[in-house]
Amino acid sequence: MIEFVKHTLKNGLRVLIHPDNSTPIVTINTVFDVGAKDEDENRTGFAHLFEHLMFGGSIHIPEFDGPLQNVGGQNNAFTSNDITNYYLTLPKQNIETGLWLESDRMLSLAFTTESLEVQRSVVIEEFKQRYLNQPYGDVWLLLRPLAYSTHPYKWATIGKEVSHIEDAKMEEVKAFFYKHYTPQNAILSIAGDVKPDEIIELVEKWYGTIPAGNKYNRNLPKEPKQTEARFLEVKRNVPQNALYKAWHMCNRLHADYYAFDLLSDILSRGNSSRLYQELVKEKELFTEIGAYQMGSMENGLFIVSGKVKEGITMDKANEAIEKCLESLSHELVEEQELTKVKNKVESTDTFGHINGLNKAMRIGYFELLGNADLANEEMKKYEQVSAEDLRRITTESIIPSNCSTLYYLAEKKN
Amino acid sequence: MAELDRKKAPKFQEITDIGFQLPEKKKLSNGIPVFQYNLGSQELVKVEFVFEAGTKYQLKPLVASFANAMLKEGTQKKNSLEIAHAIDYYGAFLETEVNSDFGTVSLYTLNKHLGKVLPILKEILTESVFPKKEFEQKLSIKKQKFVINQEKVETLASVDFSKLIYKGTKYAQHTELSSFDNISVEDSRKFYEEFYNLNNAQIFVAGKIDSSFILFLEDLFGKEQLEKKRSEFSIGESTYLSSTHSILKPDAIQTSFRIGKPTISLGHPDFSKLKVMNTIFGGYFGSRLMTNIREEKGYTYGIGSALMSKIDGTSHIIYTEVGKEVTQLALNEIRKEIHTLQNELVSEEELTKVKNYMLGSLLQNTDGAFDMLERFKSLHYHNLPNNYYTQYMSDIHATNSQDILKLAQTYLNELTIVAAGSVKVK
Repeated sequence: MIEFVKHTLKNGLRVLIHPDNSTPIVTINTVFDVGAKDEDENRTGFAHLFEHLMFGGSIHIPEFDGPLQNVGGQNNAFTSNDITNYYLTLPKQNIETGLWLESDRMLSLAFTTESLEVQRSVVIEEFKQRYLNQPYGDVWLLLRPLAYSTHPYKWATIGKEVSHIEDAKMEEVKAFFYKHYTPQNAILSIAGDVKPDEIIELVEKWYGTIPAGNKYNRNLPKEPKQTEARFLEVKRNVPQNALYKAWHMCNRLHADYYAFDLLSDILSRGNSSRLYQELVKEKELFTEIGAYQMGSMENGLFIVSGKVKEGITMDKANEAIEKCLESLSHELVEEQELTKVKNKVESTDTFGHINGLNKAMRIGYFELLGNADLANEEMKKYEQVSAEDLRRITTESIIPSNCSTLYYLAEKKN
Repeated sequence: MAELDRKKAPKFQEITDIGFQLPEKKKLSNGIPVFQYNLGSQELVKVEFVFEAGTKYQLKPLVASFANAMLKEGTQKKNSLEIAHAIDYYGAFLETEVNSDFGTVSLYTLNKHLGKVLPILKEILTESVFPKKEFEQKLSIKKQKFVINQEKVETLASVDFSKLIYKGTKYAQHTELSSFDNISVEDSRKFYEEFYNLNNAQIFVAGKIDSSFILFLEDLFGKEQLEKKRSEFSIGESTYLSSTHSILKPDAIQTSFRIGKPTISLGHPDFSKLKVMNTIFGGYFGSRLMTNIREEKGYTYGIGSALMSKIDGTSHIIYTEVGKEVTQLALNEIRKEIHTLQNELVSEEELTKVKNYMLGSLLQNTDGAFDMLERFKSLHYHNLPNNYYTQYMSDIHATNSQDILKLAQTYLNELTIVAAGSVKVK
């Protein structure tokens, strides 16, 4: 249970405060309701490039990191297809420095040409390091557009191609900021040994005068229902064949989300899981295999991926995965196996309550989804999933006509 | 109300104190030491067995890591699936890990299931049987992963760097493709029998525990007869000489650098100050290397430097991946930053910022039972005094710009340079 106090500023900024006197560190987490899905298709990678620019100085403070480091703080950020999340942790006595810094960059950035040019090259190097210069690094650049024909989830957070980042212009950067980085599109969550009244006063002081800005109304193209199996085969300079399969599934708030999540646990969580036992240990078709759901806010993907053992054909490997999944649409999972994955969720949840940053991020994320209380209701929803739910979602969704399959083949070297 | 001055930083307080505590120390009746932190509000616990069973003790590559990994693969009573199921069913996590000094087995569990899962931990430590089939499977899987990792420039650079830095010592051991053909299940079983012996174990505990916990440990582990099996160990004499190596990987679009040398260890009187110097140089986001090479030049997504402390030796290392076109330029800038640090006094402003940052990091790294346990293990295994962190804080405070200059001159020379990528460096 994460207890919190909620307060909304006149400009629309929502503030959540979780008091926790067991730690000398406070977390200040800011989540903006903008991700790669909000990008123009010809300017992909923008939300992430923007995340980098948020460290390039704000309207009144030339440098973000220095003043924070000077009071013993640390910070970082990440961008996903759904959100952009900034967090900093610092000694509790210096919390005001954090609010001073964060509020100024919500007010406005400095928008220097220098910062844009440098972060542009840093992001291009990131693109190379993580997506191009790594074995299997480009998988998501292939799999997303295969699975999504229309919805902006079809591109990865880093962007479709390097040229989109190379071409980004300052006026576009500014327009993006004023469209998305407004108090009403943001949620501030604070965890640590703090008194809510004092925090609200400080937040009012530093954030209260930031203009509300315009409300951004999201209107994304809908993904049409997939009706037949999709397939892509590529050859790359990698040592081992890999297989990726993606099925469309529900959104984050749908009741079946928890069933999909537990289904992935049945398939691949821990060494006692089905895919590992059947396909790695017994049949020795894969050297590694995993199943997971992407956790997307909008209709997401359920993924199974594995590295195929040398000498095993791709078709044989693919059939084995399908067969393993199909069995889940015929036979109900036994109570013991279901209890097992639920126990794992419970313990993961409990271990997740140790860390202040984790808790601050969690309530912020759920508030953005609609209601921070959901953060404390999830366990109940996992508990309610039945064996019949698992059978039903498998029958409905984990079927060939809803699936995209990628054969990622090792080019034979001479 | 007065107009808000956003240009002016709010007042702040220096960190003068950290909440680091020592654990409660106990001994089981057969002598196994137990160190425990009873802290936290969640009903959970971590129990970690640390064995002096790292790769430095093995006579050939892979033996130590297989001895460790095979622990979960079968006991006299349970096969690998039954072990996995017994742990998974109770939502617990059983992690086995090995580094160059230690082999560890850690159990994370909710308190309510401790009684069910701790006996399994005992079973795998004392009754493992090392089934051949499981071994062969693991070997072929690990070999595949090894081959994939060999495609990464950062792997090529860091393996070569370790070989050069630790030359002459047991830390220089490295795995090659042929290593996979030269190891047998017997090799790893023998290593297990010698090194994963309770006589060679220390137990570290963190979480919300009560007085019954130690009784439970005693009941399970305190009655085992301990016998000493381990032979004498020596790390070997370093024959380090600085050199420059280019490893060619023709299709690489980035070059991976590992640059550095062997350096002083944790107990050395200069160490804390060296850490201040390293932080200025490459130890945090605002460091010289990061500011110049990422934030000003945009040559890389990340660059840093660190002091890597092993029990029998420490290395100072600079690491980065840069675009292939700027490989030589990046190296020149790294050299320039070293030169600057050796010849120009660091400003008071920068030095203060780094000190505050380091004290803040220490505070963040001693936050809660799990973090404190890690800090304590470091003290314990490096034989440092109990007041080490207090001393460390006052050493940081006492460091001045002259110290930094001298340290840079003393410790940033005769560096070995390894570059893996499609271009050679000079």
